[in-house]
Amino acid sequence: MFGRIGSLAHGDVTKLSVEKLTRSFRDQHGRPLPILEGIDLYAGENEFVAIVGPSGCGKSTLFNIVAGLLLPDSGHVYMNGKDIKGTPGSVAYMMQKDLLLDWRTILENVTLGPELSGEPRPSFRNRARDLMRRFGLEGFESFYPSALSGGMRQRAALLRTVLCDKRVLLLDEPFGALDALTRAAMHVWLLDIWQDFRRTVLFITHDPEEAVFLSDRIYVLTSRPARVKGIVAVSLPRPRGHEIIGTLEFAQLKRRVLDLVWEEEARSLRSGPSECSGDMGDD
Amino acid sequence: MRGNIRTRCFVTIAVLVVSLGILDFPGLIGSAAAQAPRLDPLKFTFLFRPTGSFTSFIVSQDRGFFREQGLDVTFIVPGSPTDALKLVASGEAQMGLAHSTDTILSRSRGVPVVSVATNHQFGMAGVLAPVENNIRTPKDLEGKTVGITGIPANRVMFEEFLKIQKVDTTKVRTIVVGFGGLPALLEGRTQAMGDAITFSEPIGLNLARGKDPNNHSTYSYMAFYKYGLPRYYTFGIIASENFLASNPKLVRQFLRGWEKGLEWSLKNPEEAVDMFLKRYPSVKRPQALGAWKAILEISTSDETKAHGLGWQDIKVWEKQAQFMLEHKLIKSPVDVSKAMTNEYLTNR
Amino acid sequence: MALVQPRDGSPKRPDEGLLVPALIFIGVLATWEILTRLLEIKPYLLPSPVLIVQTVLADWPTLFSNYRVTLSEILLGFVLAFVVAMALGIMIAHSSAFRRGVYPLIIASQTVPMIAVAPVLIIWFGYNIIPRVLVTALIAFFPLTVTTVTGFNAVEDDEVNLFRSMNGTRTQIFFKLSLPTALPFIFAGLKVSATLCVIGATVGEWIGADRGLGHLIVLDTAQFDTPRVFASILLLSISGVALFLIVSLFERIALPWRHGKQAPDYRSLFLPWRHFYASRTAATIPKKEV
Repeated sequence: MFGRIGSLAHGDVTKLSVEKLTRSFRDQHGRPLPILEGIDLYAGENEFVAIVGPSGCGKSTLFNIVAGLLLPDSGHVYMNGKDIKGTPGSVAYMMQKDLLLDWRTILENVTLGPELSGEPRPSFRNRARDLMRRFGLEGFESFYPSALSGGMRQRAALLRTVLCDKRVLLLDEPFGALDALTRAAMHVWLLDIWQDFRRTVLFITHDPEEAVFLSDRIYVLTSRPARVKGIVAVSLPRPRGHEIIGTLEFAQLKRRVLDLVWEEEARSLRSGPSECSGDMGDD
Repeated sequence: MRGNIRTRCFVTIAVLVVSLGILDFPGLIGSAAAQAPRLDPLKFTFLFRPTGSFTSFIVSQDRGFFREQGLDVTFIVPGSPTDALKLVASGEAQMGLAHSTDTILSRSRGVPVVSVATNHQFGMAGVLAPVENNIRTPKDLEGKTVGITGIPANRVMFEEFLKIQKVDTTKVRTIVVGFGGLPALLEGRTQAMGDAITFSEPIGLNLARGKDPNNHSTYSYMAFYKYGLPRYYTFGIIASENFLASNPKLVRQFLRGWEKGLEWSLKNPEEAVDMFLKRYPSVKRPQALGAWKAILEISTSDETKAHGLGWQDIKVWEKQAQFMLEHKLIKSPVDVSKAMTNEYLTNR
Repeated sequence: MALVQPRDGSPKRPDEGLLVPALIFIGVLATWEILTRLLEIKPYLLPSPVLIVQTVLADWPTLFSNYRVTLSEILLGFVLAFVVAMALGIMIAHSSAFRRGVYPLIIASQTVPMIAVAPVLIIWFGYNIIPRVLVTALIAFFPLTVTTVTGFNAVEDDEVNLFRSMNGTRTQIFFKLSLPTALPFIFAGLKVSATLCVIGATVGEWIGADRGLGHLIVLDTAQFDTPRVFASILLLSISGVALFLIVSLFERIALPWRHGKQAPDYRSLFLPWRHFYASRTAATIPKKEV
């Protein structure tokens, strides 16, 4: 639709693609419980892709598979054309909980990725220190996570993800636990960071407004077993500020996403509640 | 902040090094006694905690009587008398002390230990009462409360004592006081102790009242063997059947050294006890001296004058085994000819 | 410490300090002393605190030489208990087969009376310090094992996934995740173990020893020297408390994140003083923002 300033047209170079991903678990009675069914999605180089869907399991399972922590029953995950099924370490994964380790200082926490991969300490320390200011954590290098507010902890977790230095980032509802005002501030901040770092981002959210504001394309998933219900292309110009939320186009896009989502919610309510136990990787 | 882990280790090690300074590590490794290569080592276990009654053994080692015989004896303090028996039976200790009752008991269970000498010629248990309680004959116990330890063999002897002396047992109140016999007596909760040991309680009684430990006038004592019970030996020296078969010479040397040490200790009680105290300084002198002097009185008899120190009369053993069988202290008869022997003593 | 925080946000009322606890402590001792005299309790039944202290001073050489022996047993037993508990704890936490096979045996080991075990230990290991150290460790290792297992089980799956997503190896997961998670629990167990070692060493000496405070207690009980028995008990109690405090000190050093918001700066301990002041004033605590 309108021109996109500062971003590559998607489809030019496919960075990550997921083909016919299928995965089921066993419920407490041992019966198979299908979670993902034939999911197809892709993200181009430096593209920001949002994934929206009704509450229930599925989305985090998808991320676990892409991150290599879980194997699908069938289907493939390609990055740069190479199959990365079952190989962790190809993407950077930020989970819903910040998982900052209590016994490490903020600096030690955010540098966990390069530390595990064997990079020399002075090198990654310096990289981290340079970025701490950008992420609003300056001065807290030698503090423990208990000293940080909720928003700061999320930023630290995000910094940790960024410092892993992977071309693809998976963010699982990073702002879910924050209040609305904080979240709004984080959106602007995140886009700002992303402008500088230029990675491919997959972003799970419940909030259609957040999805429209942040992303280039939105995948809407059905309820369990999850399939791709629809794709909404977001061609709003970048860089985006809060003023864009009031525009007509924004409202229309949001409407389209909401329609898809509500349809799914209604359908899942009719077919009964979905059983989802914690250790199946729900969101 | 990685330095802090290294710093933590450093501090830890520093504190450890400092604390090592007060430890007794050299003492642990054990003083490897510089022994002449010709001496044979022998481990001898006592019955329980060191008391003055073991003085003769310490003297035999520390005055060189064992060394004269070519032995270097080390002593083990076991946790209990039964431990001592097991140590000898298993070979961890080559010889040791055991109460004759326990020797007979363990032989009836198949433990292959043999008594090769007796330390004391007469039994050491009896009824003890402070002189003011006026208990001079067994009949005086009627109407009194008597405290006993509860050890089965002792209980049997006390009851037999009452029976033989025709005391009306319904008039004697017996309570089990365990090892608190002396406090119970001193506090007046009992008027007599039913199985006091000659070298222990009378001395304790005197010391608690500030008197000379061996003052016999402060109490009355009725030794069981003087009142109709079979005479029996108490502490004896034992060895396992294996050891007797494989090292008879060592056994003879040990007994010879011990006989000399005992003789010397009987003649020089004060110096003997001083030697004992040098080894075990935590034992108090009045207790140790009192105990040894009490043992003096029962270490010799007509038999020892005739046959030498440590000699055992097989008939005494037979009577004791019989007594134990009748009173169900052992379940099956014991062949005492296998349980004791004099053949390793010097003057047989 | 004040139970209710003042509503105006001012700092909590400071501890009343050591004054009140000290007064209570002295009060208990004074009551003991007075009762002993008032009721004319014989020293061989219950000695008074003053008499106990006098005995400690009078018999110090005997007490101290025996104390050193027992202290070695306590410390060696502690080290052995630590090594065994760590090994067992790690294996139980990481292998369910091991846990199901070995845990019941471990629990059963705590019910065995030492008196029964004693002669066996002496026969196997000889009449020396080894059986006593073994008894000490046997009595002390169990709580530490339990807390170690709990500690390692406290690692969350999500945290493991975090490490795996960064391609962490199992060794890295063990040393950088499992171990730090388990450490607070391990220290809790260590504190309990330390005090149990004191009891353990004493019990160990009862099964056969000719030196040590445990042995001295047996001897003195038979000799009716109750004041010295209490003196030995006093020394043992002090050891137990001291050990506990030492472990707590190590805990403070090893777990800095539980005692403050900022990592301690040990390097400043080694810098010359003027640099120390310079570096301290430059660091100001940043404002916590959203």
